[in-house]
Amino acid sequence: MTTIQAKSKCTYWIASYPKSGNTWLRMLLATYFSGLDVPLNINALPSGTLAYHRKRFDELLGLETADFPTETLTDLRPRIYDMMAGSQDFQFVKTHECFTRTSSGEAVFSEATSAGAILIVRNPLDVAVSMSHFLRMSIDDTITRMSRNSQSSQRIQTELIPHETGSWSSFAQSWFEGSMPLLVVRYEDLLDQPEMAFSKVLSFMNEPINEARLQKTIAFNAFENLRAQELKDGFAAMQTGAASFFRKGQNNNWKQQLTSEQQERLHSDHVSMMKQLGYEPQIV
Amino acid sequence: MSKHFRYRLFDLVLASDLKLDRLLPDESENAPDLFWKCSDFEQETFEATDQGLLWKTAPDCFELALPNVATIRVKDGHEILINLVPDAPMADVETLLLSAGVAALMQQRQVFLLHAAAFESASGAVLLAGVSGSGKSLLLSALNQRGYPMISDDITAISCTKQEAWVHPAWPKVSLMLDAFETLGLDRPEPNLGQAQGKRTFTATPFCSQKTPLDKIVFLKWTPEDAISISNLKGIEALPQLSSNVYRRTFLKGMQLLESNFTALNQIAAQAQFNTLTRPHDLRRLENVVDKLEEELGIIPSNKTHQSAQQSAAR
Repeated sequence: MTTIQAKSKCTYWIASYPKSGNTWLRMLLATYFSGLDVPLNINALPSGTLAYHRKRFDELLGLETADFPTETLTDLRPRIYDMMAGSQDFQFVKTHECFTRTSSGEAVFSEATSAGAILIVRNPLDVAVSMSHFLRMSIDDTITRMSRNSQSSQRIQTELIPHETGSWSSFAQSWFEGSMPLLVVRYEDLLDQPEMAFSKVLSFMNEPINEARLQKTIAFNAFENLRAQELKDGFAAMQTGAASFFRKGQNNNWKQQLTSEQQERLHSDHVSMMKQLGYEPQIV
Repeated sequence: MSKHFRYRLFDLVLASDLKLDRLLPDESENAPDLFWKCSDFEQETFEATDQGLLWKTAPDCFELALPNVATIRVKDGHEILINLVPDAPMADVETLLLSAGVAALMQQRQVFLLHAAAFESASGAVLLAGVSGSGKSLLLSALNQRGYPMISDDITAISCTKQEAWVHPAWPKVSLMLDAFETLGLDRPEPNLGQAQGKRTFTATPFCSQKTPLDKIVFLKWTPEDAISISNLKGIEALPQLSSNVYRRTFLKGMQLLESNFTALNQIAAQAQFNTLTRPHDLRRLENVVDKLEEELGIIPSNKTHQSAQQSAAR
């Protein structure tokens, strides 16, 4: 294998279960670090694709990864991420994958070049509503999907290399049990107290906080502004046929959308992790 | 190993130390153009001009080492040396040779490679271009069932000048996701050639056995909507898409082949007709997609093929 020149720890993994604010947080980070006085275009977001998009792997390996065993690929992934580290589009990297290890026990998210991970979480009751719209799936089926490691669609299997998202609970659990510095950010805190929540992210990255830039970043990326951009220009990452990616961005939307039975199912599936993350199970 | 196996590959004769299950045998008396030899060559190193994680290149030389499988060295456009890892799965060795190995070999011969499937129609070769997962093989298989001879599944080789462009037949195996077998009504897949992720292989019939003039290139796109559409592209508009579908473009720089590749790209853009096909993921719409393709592009199987397909049906 080619020897890779050692790089510093420069990759931050933005890890989340789907529909939990991953894109929003990366927009905030990209805007803050750009230092620009204008909003960034949602379609120009660096590392807009997932960390495990097959095309990137095929190009770096010089192989059709789909033609080889999954294990071969998994074992190569830390070195692939080492190669990607340091490039502009590989600084704040989106992943919906559980914290995973190679057959030799090494973290797939290479410790050599990873500075840390930010786990962004959202109340699973709101995730269920949002994901149901995004996947154009019934809420009951979405709740089932959130309770287990579901089989990906054929499109996902072919466009992305094999990966496991797990259930809503096991996804977060895997990152807690991982081996890199971890900051947990709640979507609800980012929505209700954006200055405080985003300042924590910057502090975690050892980044001095520029108050003026912080305020601009938050104003530029207010949910209604991102939604307006999507309405005007569309959003390239939208591939499921859903009406919009930035849909409501509200907390507690589940109170109007979920039946008591659906709420009970989600509590039953995830009560332990909900409590750990500060979401008090309640039936409305 | 003294015995050579002889195969046809892109209109060339290959002499191989290894038995290769996917290629068609060559029964001609012609001298081989290509040699694939088992060899322990790793002591002879070379200085790389460019490299990826597993591969490195120099002018006229390319090497790729896949853990647990083999290291291959491709030289001067006619030779691949193969250093096998003990107990390597031979299907994976063959996959390595027929992807990265073949790519570097044909690039060194200055043959243009497109990430595309290809089939023969009455008006010439039609290419279905797109990245992994764009549905090339599925569409190719459906067209093959309607009597269009397959030319290639994933790597399409084009030799061109200012005046003409020819598409060369690869090998008659198509790799498909398992659920596609049911959609196409195909029999049980052949024993898996390698441990590809959820994919299985079948042998396409009819298969085109000689070079075919290039006619059309169709870029494949998915849409979440339930709509099938085909749009025309002028050569100049097609250039960026053509360029982004060059197969293993990353190997070219270190082998100093970017310039010749760019020349070929422009020659192809000037000679082929280009279209974009947009269609839904729903496999149940596959026959509608093929209907649309035939109708809008005005393609039919060649007479000879058509007769043979009819004869097969009659039998």
